[in-house]
Amino acid sequence: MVILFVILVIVVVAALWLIGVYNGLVQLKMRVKNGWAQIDVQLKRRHDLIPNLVETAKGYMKFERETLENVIKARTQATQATTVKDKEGAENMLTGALRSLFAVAEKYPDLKANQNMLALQEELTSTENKIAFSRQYYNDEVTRFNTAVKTFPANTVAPALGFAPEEFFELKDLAEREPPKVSFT
Amino acid sequence: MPYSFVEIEKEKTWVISIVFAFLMVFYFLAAELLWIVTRLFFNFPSSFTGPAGLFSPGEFVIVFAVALVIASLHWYYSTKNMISDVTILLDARPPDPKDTYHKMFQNVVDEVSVATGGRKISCYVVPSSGMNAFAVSDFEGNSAIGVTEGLLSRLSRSQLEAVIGHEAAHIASGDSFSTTVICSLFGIYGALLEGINRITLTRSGDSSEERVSVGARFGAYLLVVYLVLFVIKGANYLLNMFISRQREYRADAVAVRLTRDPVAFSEALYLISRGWRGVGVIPDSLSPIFITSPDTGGLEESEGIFSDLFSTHPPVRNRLKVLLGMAHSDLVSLKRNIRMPYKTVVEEEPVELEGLSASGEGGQLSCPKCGQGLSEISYEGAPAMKCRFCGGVLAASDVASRVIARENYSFPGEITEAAEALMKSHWREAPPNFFNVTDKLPCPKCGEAMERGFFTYGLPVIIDKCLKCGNIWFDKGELEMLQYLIEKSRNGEL
Repeated sequence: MVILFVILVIVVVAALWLIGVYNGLVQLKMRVKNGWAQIDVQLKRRHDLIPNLVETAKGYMKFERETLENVIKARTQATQATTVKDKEGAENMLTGALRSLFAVAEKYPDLKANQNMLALQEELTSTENKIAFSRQYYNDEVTRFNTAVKTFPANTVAPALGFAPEEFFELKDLAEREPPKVSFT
Repeated sequence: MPYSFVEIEKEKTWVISIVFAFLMVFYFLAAELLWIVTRLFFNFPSSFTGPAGLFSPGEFVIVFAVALVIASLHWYYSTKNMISDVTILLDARPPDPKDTYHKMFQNVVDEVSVATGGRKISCYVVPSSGMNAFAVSDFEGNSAIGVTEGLLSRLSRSQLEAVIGHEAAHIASGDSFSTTVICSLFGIYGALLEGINRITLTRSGDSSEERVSVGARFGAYLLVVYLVLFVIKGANYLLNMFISRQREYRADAVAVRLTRDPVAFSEALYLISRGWRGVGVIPDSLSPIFITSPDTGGLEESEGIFSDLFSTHPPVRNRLKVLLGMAHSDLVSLKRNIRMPYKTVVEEEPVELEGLSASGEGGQLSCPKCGQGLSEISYEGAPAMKCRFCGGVLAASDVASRVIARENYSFPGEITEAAEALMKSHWREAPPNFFNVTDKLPCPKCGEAMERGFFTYGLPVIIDKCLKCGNIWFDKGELEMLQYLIEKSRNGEL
């Protein structure tokens, strides 16, 4: 009788613990999803801004066809990417292409002073920052979720409940990886 | 020292919650204490069969419930219109999307809101040239961040981002919310104290008959209650100051968590502490909502036990020490690396806003002096109208105060010389008579005759202002001279 009672208590406690773990993980996972949704919104916003930017720059930068075409190409690739890994690659390309566009734009004082261009530049800066911040938020939440999934004792049941660690979203600055060019002219 | 932002956030959250919980318990204990005093003096029979003596659990429950209801009502009514009350008090306005500074501010707030995980925050701008920022949130969970015009014009984008991060941290960690809870809880005792003060003060001025009619017993009762209330209020005040300082440290840490840029934040804090941070006349009770205390008194910045006990904000020096510790930097290199915003020469022919002037309104307005069409320009980031022919500028009055708060233009020699000459003229001894102006200019917007006068009483710059729609007309060079002179007087050079 006593043994039966003890077993019952153990079962109830175990069930409560399982429910607690499950709900906790679901909550963390929802935050990860929310973070991802935010990144998506900001990436889309950047894609939407680019045609305007190219249109404004086109009139001034007659001899920079290649730079502009690179931006357009990178944008098309980025809009078509679906998985986290694909997006990472395509968005990195786009960031690089935009950076070289702004670097080239420095050579055109008329373009630099154009109010439309200034406004677009501010919008793009803001969007880039938002992408960075939403990525930071997403990665922070992924870290929390993965820690919860991988630490004992939750790691004993997490796979059975259908929770697997999530992937980070990394937007590496391509320029950072290239060795700096030094010239002595 | 445990100086990573995660550790600071944890540590401070722990301290703040303990003190907060203590204050809540303290509130109810104070209510019980007042009740016991009252019962002792008036020999109310205890209606509950608890253990004999001063304390009965049944009564305590009742007192607890009553105190809770009073506190909730008081809290509800005092925070119902919190945001609009504060913004009206400070004359804060929503940002103007046509203004480049305001646009940037709006963007930065949106960015930080993304960093918090998508919390909605509305923005306000205070038309003051001081440097400060504040955050409020109300009963329904709406929140707002406000900054002064001076802050927008004198901080770089990343510095502004850090400041907004600090304010967003106050909102996200519920500081604005819990401040209002504590204030309204103990506000009741404060109000009681005031009440007693008023009764006794008017009575001592009156004839003595009234005092006798109240009775010695009641007088003694009032005295005891007064003392109890006084102690409660004092203790609450000290704890509140303590909590407020802890919150500032925590918000600094959270700001770094959000923006990951301790260097920009220390720069911003340093610049703000160096500059004038006044925002106009505000009541003391509002001072905790600002990033640095708007008081210009020395107390906030001095160190020592006394000032530590009585200030809402920790000394900027200590905050900088924590932040620079995170950045592995120090005050010397901060000062060396800090870059003041560039001053560009005022643009003689400001650029036309192609995309933004599509309103069509622009073409119809004509110059009050020469009748030519006015064209839309961006003057120091703010939208204004300019006559290309005579060089006069038309600006709405809020635009004018905005432009004057900004200091990113430098002025060519002819403007500064003209302004100095104007200051040396005899405008103070023999001011022009503005009552019989015969050649009043018509307002380009509404056609009403504009009134002529000094822009402010301290400076000899004469402008024409439409009293109906608030537009101000500056003749060629007047706006520049006004900016130049006001900037000089702000720096104490006049």
